[in-house]
Amino acid sequence: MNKRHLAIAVFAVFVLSSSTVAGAEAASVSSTRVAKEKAAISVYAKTMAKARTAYFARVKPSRAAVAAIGKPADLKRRAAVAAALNPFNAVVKAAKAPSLAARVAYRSAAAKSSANPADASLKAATKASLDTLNKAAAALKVDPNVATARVIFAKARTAAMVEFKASVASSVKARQSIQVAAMAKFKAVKAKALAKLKVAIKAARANPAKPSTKPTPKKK
Amino acid sequence: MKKPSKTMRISALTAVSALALFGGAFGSAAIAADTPTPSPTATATPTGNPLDAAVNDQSAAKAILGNNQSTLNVLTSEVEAAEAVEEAEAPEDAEAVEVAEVEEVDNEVEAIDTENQQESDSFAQDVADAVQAGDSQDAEELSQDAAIVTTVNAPEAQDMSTDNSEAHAIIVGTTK
Repeated sequence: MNKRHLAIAVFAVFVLSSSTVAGAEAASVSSTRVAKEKAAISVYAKTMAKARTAYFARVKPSRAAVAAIGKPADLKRRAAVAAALNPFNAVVKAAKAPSLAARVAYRSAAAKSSANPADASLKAATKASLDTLNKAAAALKVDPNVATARVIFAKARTAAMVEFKASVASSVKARQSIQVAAMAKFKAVKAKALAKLKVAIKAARANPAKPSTKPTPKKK
Repeated sequence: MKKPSKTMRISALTAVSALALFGGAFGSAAIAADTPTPSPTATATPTGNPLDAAVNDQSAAKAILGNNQSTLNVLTSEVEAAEAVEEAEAPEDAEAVEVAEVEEVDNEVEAIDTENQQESDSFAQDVADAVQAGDSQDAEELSQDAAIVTTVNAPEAQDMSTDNSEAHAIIVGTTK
């Protein structure tokens, strides 16, 4: 091997080793950065999961209290509405009866007329039954009994709802204030954790080779 | 030292060159493997930072998944983290899901709705028959009658249903 061959071989070995070293170093730096980012995200997720658990622990008792009062109160409300609905339904049923009867009569007449299209009297009977139905429906629209029953039912329904709301008001108010306070705490933890996450990510990207400055959530 | 044959010299130089090329290729591949490529979706986020997007938005995190297996593995973890973060960020929604009991069916409302529907169907049949017989005037009048008869107590049924939903929302705490 002459000097020229030796020089070429040395150069090739140099290129080989420098490329390999550079590649390995780049891969190492990159994986360190990714590991740091993953660690930071994991810390953030854990912090937020804890915050969420704490939120529920704060609000659950007040929610249970509302349910304990609210469910029986709602059953009472529904019973009151159902009781008021019975007389209303009776009035509506009576008011609708002429229209429904007229519809049945019309259908019968229309069927007969259809079976004998040449029969003018059947056609006239069909038209007459339709007129009866029209009049019954028009009367139903302005039926004073229905209007009165409607007002009575609406009053009963509204009163039942007002009573229900009054019976649960204090516990609902208590729950809402507890929820607002718990949410404020949750949001404060979130803001802090998010800020730490951003700092950690920025640091990991700025200088991934440096030792990790992994953020740790503060104990509450 | 014995001078190597021409064939041996060529073989040695070829091998060294191949190794050099492999080393270079390995280095480039290693760099490319761990460099996430932000997609248009990810860069369209306010920060423009793909990782922030992964943290804030699961779909964006998925969007920045590259074809490279190494990148895929890394970002899959980010997606998992993003999912955990999303869950943690929405206690109100989670709470609603957790406590939301199915609203009780109101038999009274159901009865009214069913009866109205049955009457409506009967009228609809009459209207269809009138149309088929060529009595468009009859069909129109029947439609008007149907609208009156089948809606007498519909407002009450609607009011009852609204009250039920409101009471349910108050009990489960989904009212604001």
